[in-house]
Amino acid sequence: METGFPLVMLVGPVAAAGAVMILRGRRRVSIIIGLVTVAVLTLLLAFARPGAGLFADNTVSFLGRELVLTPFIWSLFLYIYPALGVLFFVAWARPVGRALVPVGLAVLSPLAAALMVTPAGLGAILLVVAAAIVLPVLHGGKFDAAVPAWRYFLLTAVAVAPILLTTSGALLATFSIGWFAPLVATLLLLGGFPFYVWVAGLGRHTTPIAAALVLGLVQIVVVVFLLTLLDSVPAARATAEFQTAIRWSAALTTLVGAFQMGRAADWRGVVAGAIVLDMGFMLPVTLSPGTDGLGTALPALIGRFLGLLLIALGMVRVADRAGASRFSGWIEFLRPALLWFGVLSLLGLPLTPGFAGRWAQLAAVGQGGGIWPPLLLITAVAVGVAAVLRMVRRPAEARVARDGHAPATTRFEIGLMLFLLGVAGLLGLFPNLLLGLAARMLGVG
Amino acid sequence: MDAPTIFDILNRLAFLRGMPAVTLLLAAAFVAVVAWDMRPAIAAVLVHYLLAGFLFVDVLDPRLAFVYTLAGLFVSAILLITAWQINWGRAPSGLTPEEATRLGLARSRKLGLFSVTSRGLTRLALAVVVGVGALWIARSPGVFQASIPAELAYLEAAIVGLAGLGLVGLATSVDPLPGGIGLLVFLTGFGLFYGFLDQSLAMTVALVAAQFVAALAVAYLAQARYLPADILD
Repeated sequence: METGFPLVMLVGPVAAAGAVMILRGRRRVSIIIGLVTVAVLTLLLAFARPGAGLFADNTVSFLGRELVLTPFIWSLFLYIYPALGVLFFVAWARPVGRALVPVGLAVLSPLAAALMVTPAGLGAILLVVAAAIVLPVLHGGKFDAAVPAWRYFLLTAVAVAPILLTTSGALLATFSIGWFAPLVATLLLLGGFPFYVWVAGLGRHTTPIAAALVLGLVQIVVVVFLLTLLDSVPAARATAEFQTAIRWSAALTTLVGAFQMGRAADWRGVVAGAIVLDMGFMLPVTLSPGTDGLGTALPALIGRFLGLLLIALGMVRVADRAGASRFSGWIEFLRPALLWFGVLSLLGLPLTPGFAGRWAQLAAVGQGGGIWPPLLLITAVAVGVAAVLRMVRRPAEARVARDGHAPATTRFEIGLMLFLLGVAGLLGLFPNLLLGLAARMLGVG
Repeated sequence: MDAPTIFDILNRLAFLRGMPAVTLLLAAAFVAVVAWDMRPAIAAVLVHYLLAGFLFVDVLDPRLAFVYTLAGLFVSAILLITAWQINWGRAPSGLTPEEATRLGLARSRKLGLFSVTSRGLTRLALAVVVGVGALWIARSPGVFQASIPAELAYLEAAIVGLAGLGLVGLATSVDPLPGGIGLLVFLTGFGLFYGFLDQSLAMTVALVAAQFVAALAVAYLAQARYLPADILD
């Protein structure tokens, strides 16, 4: 058994998650352990650049299989670890249940292993393990969240079959419909039409922080895994059937999201629809091979994560008004601003972080696919914007889902809100920052 | 007296090898997917794992096939305990229609001796269609001739039947336990096919691990979904 630096990435988070499980009763201690763990992991990883770092050995072998830390995975996790730290800070301000920290830490191991392991087929099983680990956070003690959480796990598990068929190449060699397995794997993992049902349910019934973990951070690994898989079958991806199916699935998914936003009675429904719409926009990135696809997907996923964090801090119940009169002026201005900005970012409007990847996504749909798919995508965004405006104009009491009482707002939370709003505003004003970050992660910038 | 080896057991049960095992396996999978009471369903899951082991012997190293069967026993045990904890999938007695709606329970109707739901009838109809499809493949094999040798063509019916029944089970139920049984049946069918493509130890263990993970996820969510019923009482 060869023990290089990746072993730290595999064992470290699980060990820390175990420690947090022992201290589950103490929420803030758990969060501190989580923050220290991701800080240490980030620091160690920064010194472990493959081939050039202090820890030169970037390979772990186990049962004859190798796990290799490539420069891209190294840079990807240099984003994922700090991003999880920010999520923990948000959880400090907005309690979301004791499972978040141990789950957030534990899921890092299978995610890292899924990208590092060869052959890729084993990575599919590790994605199933990751999906199982996040279930307690998705469920979050809510009855209504059990079904979408189950559907999320179910479709990830079912995706193992088309992924393994794709990696084996058997279907490609046997049938003329060799594009079918990669297509099904793509639609299952990215929640594309007709498999969007889990996305809508998660957006509706789980907390935005849980959504940020699963649809922001976990999904980034899923997308990278999928794009790497599709790069291994360029002939299947290049077929007209695959490309047409992806374009139309993207258009229909975004339309479903827009429809849900249009008929939503509260902000939860609007956010759920916006998430579906954003997931629909992720599908076209699978049409672009190599760094082109990743260069489009990464800014979009970072924008989605940031948008969901803004929503997590902005979507707080009406009860908050009575909680902290001292900051009430700030809060009444800040919370709606964060919520609206977060939702508009999910829609990918200009001047929001979500815009960075949108143009390339639209271009990918438009290239050679006729006028209708891109037109439907734009229509969906327009309907989504109209739904947001409709909700903004409604009385405050009617538009906020009241399902509990929020604790009083602290200075720390206001500071965090201002910080995230500032970062989001900066990335909205200068989308090239996100595109440049993605290019550097891919080693092309 | 020496304990029988895996090969001794296989020799004693040689009469089950081949088409008899396929037939019984599909019958067990049919019951597992269609039964609305979890007691016969989980007994059928157990039988399906035992019989699938016989078929895996024709695909993998017999020791790996035995590991698959052993894992199936553990998965069945997990499902059994879970089903017992959720009162075998039955709705709590005395629920008002509003409470039943809130719990997402489908309205049932009398059909002779049985009380069935629309969803249950749909599942039954689709399972029968899959069964007919598997029968058709058993009579005219060769669908997977590029991957499956002609002498093992009887496995095609098992692969198609298990995968189809599994998909029916997981697509026609929103509850984690019956849906999870569908998922496990589907994974068994896929595992049989994938055994022809990759017989490495790592992938076999990984697919077994996937079944374990699925069983644990089903157990967790089934109980999470049943909990509010206790609160309602």
